[in-house]
Amino acid sequence: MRITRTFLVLLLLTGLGAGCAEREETRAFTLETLDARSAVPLITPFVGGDSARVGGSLPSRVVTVRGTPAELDAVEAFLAEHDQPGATVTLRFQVVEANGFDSTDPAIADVENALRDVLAFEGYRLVGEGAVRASRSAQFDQQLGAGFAIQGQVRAITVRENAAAVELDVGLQLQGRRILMTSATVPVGDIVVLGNTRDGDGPTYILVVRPTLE
Amino acid sequence: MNCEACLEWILVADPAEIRADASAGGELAAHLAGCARCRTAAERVLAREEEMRAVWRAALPVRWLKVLVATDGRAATAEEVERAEGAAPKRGSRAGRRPGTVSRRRRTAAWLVPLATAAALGGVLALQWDEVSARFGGDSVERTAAAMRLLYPPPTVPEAPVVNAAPGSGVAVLRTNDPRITLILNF
Repeated sequence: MRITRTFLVLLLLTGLGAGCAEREETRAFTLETLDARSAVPLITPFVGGDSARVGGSLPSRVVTVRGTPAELDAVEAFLAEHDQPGATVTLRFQVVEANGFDSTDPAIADVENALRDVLAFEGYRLVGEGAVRASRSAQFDQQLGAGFAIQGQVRAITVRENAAAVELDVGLQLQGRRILMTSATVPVGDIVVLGNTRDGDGPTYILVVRPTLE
Repeated sequence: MNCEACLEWILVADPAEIRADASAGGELAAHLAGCARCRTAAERVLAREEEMRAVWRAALPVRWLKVLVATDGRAATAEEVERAEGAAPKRGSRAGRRPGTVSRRRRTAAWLVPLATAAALGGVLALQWDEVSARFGGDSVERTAAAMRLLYPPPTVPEAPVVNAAPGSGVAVLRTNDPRITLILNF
């Protein structure tokens, strides 16, 4: 009999406790980079798939969510991972002509040293450079001089505690003709050297990209 | 036995006592045989208790089951543990008591003691509710969050450049003697 009574009382208390835990509240989340239209479908599963409990519309960057404290905490944790404050990167570009140059340009000394063991060119010369500051989704188009131009887009900037990376598309044009196009995710602080083996008989150009976080 | 006494007995008795009475052709069994209303009530109580036993057994460690049956604050006896596990009551145990032998004072105390025990255990049991619901198909915030992490993995920072090669194109990625510098060749 004790068991029966205990179970019944436990059921009653558990129900009462669950009722308290299920008490709902409304919390507003200010979006950093996502827009409301993108965020609402991501938030809705956390509140039982009930879209009526999630409010937000363009152009507002505020989403209101009704749910239990646990549900709202889960939404907050999810947004903290996927809706980080916008970061800005600076992309430094250097166009290097690879051919038999004897002199060493200090501006590209680190790249020249690294490429010496990988590529068969005897020397390198800096023929154009420039830099752009860009945030997520920003497109850029910059003339670098000597007929070179850079076009591209920053698709994403991911920042973690001790590291960051930029996902970008970048293309190099010479006299309006595209000679290089690459899409890559580059850790901030790394240097990527982009080349193309289909240059033909003309000079060989490589593009050096150096991303830094603002 | 009238319906009032029968229903009170059903509510306070544990399943073993009801079954024991039924198998012995006792007073309760005789009333249930002739009263559809009380029989339905008894069936519902037994079914509900079986569901609860299944839930508790699945969700709680055995040591907690042992605590649950020690409703008067002392350590559970082997007999009480057996009863919690659904074992048949032993001869001479409380299960053999006939209906109508529980005094009002003892009934009151019998409700207060489990109330206090349940209150003490309530916080612990609440922590296990997600496990219960998870095992029995219920929803939980944790499971939703885990599913969302699978669908939308948190963005990560690669240790080295990652190239997204376009369809129909070839890409060679070469590390150099400088760990900061990576050569990406399209061909």
